[in-house]
Amino acid sequence: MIHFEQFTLSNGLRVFVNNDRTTPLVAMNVLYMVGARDEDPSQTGFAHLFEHLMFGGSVNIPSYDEPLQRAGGENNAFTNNDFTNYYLTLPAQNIETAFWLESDRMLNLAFSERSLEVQRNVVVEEFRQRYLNQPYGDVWLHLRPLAYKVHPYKWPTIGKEIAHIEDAVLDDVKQFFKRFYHPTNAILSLSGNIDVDTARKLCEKWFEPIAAGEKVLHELPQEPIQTERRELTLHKDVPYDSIYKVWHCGARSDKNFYATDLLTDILSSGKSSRLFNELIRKQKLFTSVSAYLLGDLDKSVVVAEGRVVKGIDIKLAEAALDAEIRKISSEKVTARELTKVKQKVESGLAFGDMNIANKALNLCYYEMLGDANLLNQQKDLYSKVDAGEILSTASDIFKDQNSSVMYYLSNLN
Amino acid sequence: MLNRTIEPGISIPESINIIKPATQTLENGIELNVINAGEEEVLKLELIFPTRVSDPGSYIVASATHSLIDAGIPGKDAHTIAESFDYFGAHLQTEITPDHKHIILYCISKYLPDTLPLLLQIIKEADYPQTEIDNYITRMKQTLVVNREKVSWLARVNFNSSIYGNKSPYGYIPDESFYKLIERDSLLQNREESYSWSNCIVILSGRMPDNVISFVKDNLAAINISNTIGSNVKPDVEETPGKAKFRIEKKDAVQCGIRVGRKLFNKHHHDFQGLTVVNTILGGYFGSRLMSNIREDKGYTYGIGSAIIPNKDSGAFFITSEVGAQVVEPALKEIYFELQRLCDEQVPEEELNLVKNYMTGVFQRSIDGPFALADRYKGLRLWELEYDYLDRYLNLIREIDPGTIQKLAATYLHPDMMNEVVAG
Repeated sequence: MIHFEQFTLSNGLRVFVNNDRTTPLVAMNVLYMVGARDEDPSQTGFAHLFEHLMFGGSVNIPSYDEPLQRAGGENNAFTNNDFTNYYLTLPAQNIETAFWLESDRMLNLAFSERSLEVQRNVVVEEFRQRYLNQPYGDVWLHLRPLAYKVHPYKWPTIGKEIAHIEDAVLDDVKQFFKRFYHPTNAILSLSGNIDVDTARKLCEKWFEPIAAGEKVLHELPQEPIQTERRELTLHKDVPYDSIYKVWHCGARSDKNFYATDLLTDILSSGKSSRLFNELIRKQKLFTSVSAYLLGDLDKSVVVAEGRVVKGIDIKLAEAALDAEIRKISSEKVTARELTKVKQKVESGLAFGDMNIANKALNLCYYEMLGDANLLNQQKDLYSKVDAGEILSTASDIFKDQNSSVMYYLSNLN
Repeated sequence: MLNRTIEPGISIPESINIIKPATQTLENGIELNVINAGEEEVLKLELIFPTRVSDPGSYIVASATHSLIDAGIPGKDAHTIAESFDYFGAHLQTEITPDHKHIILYCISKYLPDTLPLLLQIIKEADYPQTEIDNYITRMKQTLVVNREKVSWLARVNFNSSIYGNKSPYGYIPDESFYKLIERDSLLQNREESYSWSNCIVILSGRMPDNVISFVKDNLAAINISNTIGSNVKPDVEETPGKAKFRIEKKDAVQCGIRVGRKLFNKHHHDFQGLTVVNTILGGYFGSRLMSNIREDKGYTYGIGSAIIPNKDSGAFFITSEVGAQVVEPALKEIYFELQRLCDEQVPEEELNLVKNYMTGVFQRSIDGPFALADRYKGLRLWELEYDYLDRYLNLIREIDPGTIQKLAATYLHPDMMNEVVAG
């Protein structure tokens, strides 16, 4: 149970405070409700590039990192398809430095051609390092446009292609900031050794003077219902064949999210899971296999992927994977299996609550979903799922016409 | 009107309070350390044994023995064992280095009595079914072949080989032929000989009721120590490894992996702590000289950093990065420029003060929460150090001056002392 208090500033910025006196530190989290899904299809990768530019200095503070490090603090950020998140932890007595830094870059950035040029290069190198220069690194560059034909989830956070990043200009950066980076589109949280009164005073001092900004409407083209199986075969310079299957499923806020998450856990969470036991251990068809749910804000996908043992026909491996998918779509899971995955979730939630940065992120994340109180309801929402709901959810999702399959085959054999 | 150009005042703590474990040595020799702290009723139980290997072959066997510790005991197969832990939401993890083997159990505290007995049983009775060994070998071979496609991996193993030698468990370059050594009999024998309970260090951390602590203690105390302690085996390390440049070709790579560094010493050396400050300035944090120059100014890379990694008898210093294939030479030039600059010029007071504050903050974060406290303790215990080591460390961070930094850099981190590996 995470105790927290909340208040809203006059400019609309929502603030959440979890006072944890057992630590000498405080974590601050600032979530902006903008991700790759909000990008122009001809300028993909922009939200993530923008995240890099947020460290290039703000209107009154030439360097973000230096003062934070001088205060003994550390920070990082990430961007995904739905939102962009900035977090920092520092010794409690220096927390005002965090307010100073984060409020100034919410107020305005010091837009500079030089910073844009360097960060374009850095992000291009990130694209190469993580997506092009790793075996299997480009999987999602191909899988997303196979699964999504219309919705902006069809491109990854890093961007569809390097050229989009290279083409970014400063005017676009300024417009992006104006549209998405303001109190109305942000959520702020604090976790650690800070009480709500101190937090409120500091918020009023540093964040309240910032102009509210206009509410962002995410009017995105929704993905039409898929009506036939899709297939893509790629031949790549990788040592082993791999298979990737995706099925459309509900959004994070849909009622059956919890059943969907648990069913993927039954398939592949831990060494006792069905896919590990059947496909790796017993049948010796795969060297690795996993099933998971992306859990996006808009309608999402369930993924099953595996790397095939050398010498095994990928169609044979796929048939065994399909047999497991058919089984969970046609037979109820056992009571013990269900208890097992629920206890694993309970354990994961408890371990997550140990970390102040994680607690701060969760407060913002669940508020973005609609209500920060959801944070404390997760265990119950998972525990209410029964075997019947898992079966009906599985049989809804795992239909052939709802699937896309990518064969990622080795050129080297 | 708020003046946003003025930085809020900051302060750095004079002293830092560390929670230390309650330590007791049980009659059978097992050392139990308990850190009962934190809010959440979860725990981490870590069992640490010495690895005792001298060469790559014996390390491969020890690694397989250790990884497959949960692959079966008489009457229970791998699936049954995994299910017994998963059912209680517990997570079992194994780690190995040429120095130590770690078995780590993460668990909701109330379920420890349901999981600990099996954990102890598998260490005593693991019987290595052939089918699990075959799967392991297949997985390891495929992982190796995939790793060879990664420039970062190629740079790492070739660098380690360049400083420790290819006959050392720290420095060998993995090869398919090693996996022939993994036979059931040698795993059984290794398990029998190398999990010496009287040398076992146990660290229990988290928030737990007293009865859980007693349960752990009673179960450990009941272990009958039958296996004899092997003699202390030292890993083979080349005394004077050649200083050289290595170029590992990988066709069509759009980036190259770079490692520049040298063999060094471990925490027992009188200059180790001072060098961690030098390392932080150079490449140990986001605002470091390497990051500022090579990423933030030149845009040659997504990331670059440096580290000092100690092991039982020695250690290594290295700079690591993946840079665009077209900018390898300019990136190397800047790397050597930054090393040379540390040797030639005193670090400005302002930069040094920032690093001192930053390192103090890192230290505070590194003791936040029971698991972090346990890791801190482990970092002392495995080198047979006491908590005064940390007092000295904090004191050194406060006191060290630019002259000392320059002298340390010139003594240990001169460009001429470095090996260089480029893969791509």
